[in-house]
Amino acid sequence: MGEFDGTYSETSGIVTTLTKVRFRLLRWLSRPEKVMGLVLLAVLAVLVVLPLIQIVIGASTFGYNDTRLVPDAVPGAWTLYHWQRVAASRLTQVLLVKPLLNSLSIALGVVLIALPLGSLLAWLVVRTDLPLKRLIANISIIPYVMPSWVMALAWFTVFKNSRIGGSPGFFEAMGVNVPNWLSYGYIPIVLAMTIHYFPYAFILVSGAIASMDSQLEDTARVLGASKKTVLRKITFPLMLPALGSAFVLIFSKGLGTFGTPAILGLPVRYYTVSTRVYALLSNGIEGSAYALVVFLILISSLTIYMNAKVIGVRKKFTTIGGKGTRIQRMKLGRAKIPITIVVCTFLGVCILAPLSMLLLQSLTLNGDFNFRELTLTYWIGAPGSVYAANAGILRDPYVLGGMWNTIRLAVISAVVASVAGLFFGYAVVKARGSFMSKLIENLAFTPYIIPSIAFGGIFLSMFARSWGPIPSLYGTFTLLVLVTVAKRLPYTSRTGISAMMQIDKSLEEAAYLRGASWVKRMWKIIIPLGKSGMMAGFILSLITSMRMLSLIVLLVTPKTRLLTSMTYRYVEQGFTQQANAIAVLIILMTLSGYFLASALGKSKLEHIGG
Amino acid sequence: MIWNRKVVLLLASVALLVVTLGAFAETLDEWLQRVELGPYATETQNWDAIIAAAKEEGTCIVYSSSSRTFLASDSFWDEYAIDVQVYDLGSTGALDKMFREHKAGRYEADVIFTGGSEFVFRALPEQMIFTFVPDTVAAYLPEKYKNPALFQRLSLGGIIYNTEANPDGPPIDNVWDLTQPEWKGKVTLKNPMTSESTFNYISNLVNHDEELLAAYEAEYGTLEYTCGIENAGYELIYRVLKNDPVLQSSSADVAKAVGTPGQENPPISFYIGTSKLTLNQSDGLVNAIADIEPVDVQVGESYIAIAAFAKHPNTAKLWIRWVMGTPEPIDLGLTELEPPYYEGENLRMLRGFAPWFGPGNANPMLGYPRAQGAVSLDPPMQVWPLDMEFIWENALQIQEFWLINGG
Repeated sequence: MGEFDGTYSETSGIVTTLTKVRFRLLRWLSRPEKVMGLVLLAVLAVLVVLPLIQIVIGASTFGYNDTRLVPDAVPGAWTLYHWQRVAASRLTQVLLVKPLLNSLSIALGVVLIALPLGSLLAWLVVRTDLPLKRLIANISIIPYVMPSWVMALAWFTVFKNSRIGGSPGFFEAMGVNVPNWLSYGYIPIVLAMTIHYFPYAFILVSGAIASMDSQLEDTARVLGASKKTVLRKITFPLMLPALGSAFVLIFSKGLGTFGTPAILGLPVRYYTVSTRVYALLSNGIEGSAYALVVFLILISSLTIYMNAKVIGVRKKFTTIGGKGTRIQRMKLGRAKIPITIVVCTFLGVCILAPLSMLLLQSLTLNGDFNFRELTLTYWIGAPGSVYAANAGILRDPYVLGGMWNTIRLAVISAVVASVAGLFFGYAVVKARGSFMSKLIENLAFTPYIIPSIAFGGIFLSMFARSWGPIPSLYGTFTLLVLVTVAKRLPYTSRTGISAMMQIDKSLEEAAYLRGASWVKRMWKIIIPLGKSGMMAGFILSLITSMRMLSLIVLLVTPKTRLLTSMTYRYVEQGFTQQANAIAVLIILMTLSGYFLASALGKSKLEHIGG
Repeated sequence: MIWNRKVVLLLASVALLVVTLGAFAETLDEWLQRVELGPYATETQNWDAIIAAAKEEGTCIVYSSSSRTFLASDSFWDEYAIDVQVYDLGSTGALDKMFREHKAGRYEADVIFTGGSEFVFRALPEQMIFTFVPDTVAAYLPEKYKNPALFQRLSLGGIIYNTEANPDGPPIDNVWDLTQPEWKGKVTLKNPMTSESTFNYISNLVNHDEELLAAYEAEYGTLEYTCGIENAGYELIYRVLKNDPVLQSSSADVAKAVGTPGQENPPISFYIGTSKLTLNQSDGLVNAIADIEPVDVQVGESYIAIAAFAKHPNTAKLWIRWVMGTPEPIDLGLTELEPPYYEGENLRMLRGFAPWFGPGNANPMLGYPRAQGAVSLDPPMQVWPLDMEFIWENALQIQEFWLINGG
């Protein structure tokens, strides 16, 4: 720039502007959270935005099989055919309306039972002097770490009635007639899914309760408020955001669940959107399947939006602020023993009983309830002793290979996901309030509302081909890791965000002023302080990725087979004992992973709620 | 010296590049020529050369719709010490996976082993798979079972009933009986929406309007169409759906539901694949195919073919020869074999076909012996082969009908 000559020329104005822009850009680039934000946005574009676009494109173009329905259809050509077929044709009632109503009432039923149940349990564990807390908390998470359809299978084992025929369920075998509504359809689906999701409510709510300062309540009580008033005026309002987001999280999960409705709904032809999606995908009518998926995503988004409007998810508690949160444990007094008995009975009936039932059934010869001749054939039988599976599962190289893959995938993707979660947290929290921060947070949450079955299918189509320098990832382990990490982003980014929120920004600012480089700040401050949150993300990803099925079912190849995909085949073929044995194996592996990781990382799941 | 080394290095890299590019650039035609498939297929094969080449190729990948394929891969290993990895994907999954892979230029599968109209009307004409007929069995196969696609087995679709509860034969004598009130909630079948092979038996009914109409009129008088379509096949499907059928996820579950002994009032099945009649032997079930009007069995099929650009073509050929079995039992003049089939002399003679040898399946070779208790496919047995062309053209419309009416 030349010397100031007293007049403002047009050029110098532009130059000034340019300098400003350059300066801003430089300053902007010197803020690592912005650069990181850009990188993360690029990652999100590939892992989240592109799949979403692909779903919409899939719903708006003809597929190959459509030429069998529409004579002049050209595969790949744009069309509104599938939208019309799903939303305004004689199929609308059976593809969209009824299944959607079913999905909605299931999701509502599940959340209305699971949330109070989980919250009550969380309150008992965190805020009272209930005995056996550790044990109760640990048993409570079991249903959440098992594949959700395991509960459905267990339900069948117990409540199956004569409508299906064949060997009777447990109650029928005892001479009790079980009505259809208790054996199949809405009620069993809701109850089985509630058992699966109440631990999720427990995890979400106990995190919030644990971080709630009881001094407010104490103060109110000291000022003469009754217990009821405290609960109504202080505890509940403070809990409301956490309850609201737990409601939405469980509700959207309930909307998209596939396994349980597929198993318990089929005998009475009770269908949900996800089971319809699966059927359409199975028949190669992908366009209609994706159109249905879009409707499901829209409804989930609407729920989240309404929750944000009504309650406001962004209200957060101050947690680690050096103010010394104190948790006052309420004394249960005389009610202590009865409450303990009720809780233990509940956990025993809902969790331990079905699990033992599965284990026992895997030890019977014919899968019936003849426990006089127990056998370990299905576990450790010699090669050739088991039909079609050749050997007991622990001696079958095919199963062992799947087991190794399952462990590898769970650990690797949990490491990647939790580290990514921390970065997400950093980028979102440091730029809090900016458009980019909001965008990243929302995009990272999006995979939550895309049904797994569609997400997996899209990843298959996207990554089966090469993209410029990126080679085709299909059939590789990397793709499984990628899809798992992407699908876990909503969880790990949340734990990352809540971990970052707890780190006072003055710590990093101090280091910055002392001239510490970004890498050093990250390494010396952010990562050590965020470790516990990262660990929570690691554990959550670890325990949920061992059980996932619909996400990976289309992506696995013989080399990358996983235990869950193998069990599902056994279930479909009616090899009950092997299926149950592998289900038990998955649960055992997941629990050991959980306990090992919690012991190593000194972190508990309660941190996850944030 | 140095200069020379550079030249050598340069030449070597160029050579490598050319070889690599050449390898990548193999066209379908070149591949077909190399592996002698498609237009270059030969009537006879040099099996010694194929076996020798197969032993060099390494693991062969099979996409299959049948879990029994695992057993055949075991016996294949025992015979040749060559590894075959089976991927059990169901009747729709096997083709679907290959379609997606081929679309992306990935050629993972060597053998596709499944049923379904897409096999013949999409995969074959689009040159994604190629038929290979081993010379060991070619002479014994009727033309329709080897051209355009090779049939590995015929799958019999029938209505199964519980013989213990019905010692005097099937509880129905006409398929329309299933639409009567006494069978409300007592008819069970595998969910046809997730199993193409099951849906084919249902689609095929629509193709037999006249026979179904005659069967109705013979027992119940004039047929009043209530489903909106004047076709007795549609009407039958409609009335079965209105009679509250019980859907199950697998044909093994259906077989267990119907055929578990000790039931007072067991259900009966609608048309399903009857390969699970083998559970009579292994699990003590008491099932049999019902002999009724107007059709006793519908004959479906499972095809086998080599996938385009298969990386292990010789193993694929040897594997196909293995699962087809040999004409040995025909040459010996055997008409029926006593169980068990998956051991001893039976296993040796049936070779790779042994896992499927049972009352619900038949080998497509003329004169091949039957399993004990298997139904005959000759008159007076009433047999409808699946018309795959009809199914290809109409199945999706019939599926819509099925959905709309509560299936």
